[in-house]
Amino acid sequence: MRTFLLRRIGSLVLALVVASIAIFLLVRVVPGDPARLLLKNPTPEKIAEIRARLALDRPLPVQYLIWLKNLFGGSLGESVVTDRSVKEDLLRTWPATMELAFAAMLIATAAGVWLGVFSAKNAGTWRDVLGTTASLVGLSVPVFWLGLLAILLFSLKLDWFPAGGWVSVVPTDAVWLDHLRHLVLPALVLATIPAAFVARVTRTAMLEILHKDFIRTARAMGATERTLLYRHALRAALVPIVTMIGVEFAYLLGGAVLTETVFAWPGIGRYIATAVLARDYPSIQGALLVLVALVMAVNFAVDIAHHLLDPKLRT
Amino acid sequence: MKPTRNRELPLPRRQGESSDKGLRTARRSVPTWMGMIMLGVVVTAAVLAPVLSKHGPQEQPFREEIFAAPSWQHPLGVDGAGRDVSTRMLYGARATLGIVLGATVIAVGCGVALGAAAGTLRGVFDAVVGRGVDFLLAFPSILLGLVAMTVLHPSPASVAVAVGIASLPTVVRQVRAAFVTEGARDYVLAARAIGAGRWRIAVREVLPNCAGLILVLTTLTLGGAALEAAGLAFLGLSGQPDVADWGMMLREGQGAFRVAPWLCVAPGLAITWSVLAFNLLSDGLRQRGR
Repeated sequence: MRTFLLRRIGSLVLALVVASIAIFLLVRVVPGDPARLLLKNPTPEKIAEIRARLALDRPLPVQYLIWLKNLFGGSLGESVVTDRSVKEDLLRTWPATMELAFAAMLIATAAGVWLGVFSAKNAGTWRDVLGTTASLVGLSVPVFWLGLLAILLFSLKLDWFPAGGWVSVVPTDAVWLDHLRHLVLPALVLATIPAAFVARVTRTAMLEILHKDFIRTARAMGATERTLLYRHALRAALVPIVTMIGVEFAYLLGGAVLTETVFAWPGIGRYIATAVLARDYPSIQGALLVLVALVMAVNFAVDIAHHLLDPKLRT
Repeated sequence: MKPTRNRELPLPRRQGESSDKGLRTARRSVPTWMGMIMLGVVVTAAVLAPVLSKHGPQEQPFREEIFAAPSWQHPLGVDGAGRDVSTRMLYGARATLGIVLGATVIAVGCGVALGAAAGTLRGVFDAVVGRGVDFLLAFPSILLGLVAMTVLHPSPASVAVAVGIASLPTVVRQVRAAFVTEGARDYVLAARAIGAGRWRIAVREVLPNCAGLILVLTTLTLGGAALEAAGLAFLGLSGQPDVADWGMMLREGQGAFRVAPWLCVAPGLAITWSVLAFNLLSDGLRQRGR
């Protein structure tokens, strides 16, 4: 376990370094003077200042090290569009994205596992066809369209949930309840594709396991169908499902870009979409750094969980 | 007594059936057929767009009927700029298919080349490609597409390139793995024994044996690319607003959401329809592989 942990941490650090180099190079690859790309009103004095600060006349590796030094000093620059500090913008937006992603992950995992077990349990019947069709359609629907339809139906027509945003301007209930009502639609919509994925993976894993000898033994010993499915089979199917959750999280962050845009959710996804549209390079770099670090952290956690869950991987 | 057909008895196997059983089941399988029919509808719409509609997708002949609801004259209504939505939907099939095909050609073309090279050369090149792919695969592809769009100029062609790049890692990894597995087979050994070179074996022997996988990867990429291209267009990255593109139309529809909610229905349905068609095809082909 210790060697595994050390090696995994080593590869995490390496990946972070590679990612930071890629993000650093982004502004250098775009045609044009980086100093101009990073400023809102490029006056000669400001250009000279940023040139000096980023050492743009020095070779690229030196520039990278200086950029990294600024990064660890907590400076991500200012937004070209709003002049606000990128760091503060990100500190404000990332909790919203995490909240949305975790809510969606919970829904997706619960719904996906249930649907997968349902399909596997009824393998070969019309219920299985219904389940697999549902997951296939779930995989094919664009989340932003689903979001628009959800707003149309549940906000504009039925007036059950608010159409978007974080809290109401004038909340009628307690603030947390009001906020929760804002969370429901985006979380459900964002969960669709990952839920479909999890359902497919669960179904395949369960089908394989339900044919194994230990299930037959458990059945012969009088275990109820419920115990059989959830205690024995699902537990054995857990490894591929947990692996899926890491992949799922990456999808969630990607889907968050679109979902947050539709629901005006004040998270990093909407922030980066706006920044790309406005070519706001300091903001793009900052948001990418945070998202990349998040994805890597989750993959790291999943690998550790994987190791703990799968006895075959233990040494 | 009525003659009953015994379904338990195995039918006599026709000659040659076992060898390409896969292809036959694929031809018979329901998902493949449904996918083909659904895709056929989209292709027909794209090809017949000028025949089926009286106006061009950019023309605004109905400025007096802005946001008109669906009617016999305008089956899908009129948008905010006085354009017939059904006309734009038909032309949108062209734009979508164009972008999706472009992206897939890039992803599969470069992906197969890179994967094959990595699987054939091995060594340092393979390690570098493998690590790079692992790294890229950890990220949501729409994010990769977004990053590519920060470097490219917003246009439908750029969306195709961005989506192509974003779909590349999956293809590279799968093709590389297939080349490594196939490379250990006897027929490769036999080819090497009669003196065939590394590249000759890769192209003439291994590649044809990976055709099935490449076909599956192609349909898979087509579906993913359609979703992603629509997403990027929805975010406003496909350039000029007068281009008839389903993702772009949804973006416009969102702007007029409270006035004309029906503008959002058709484009989203069309995107789902096409992605479902590609996904059904790839599911059908994958069943064949088993």
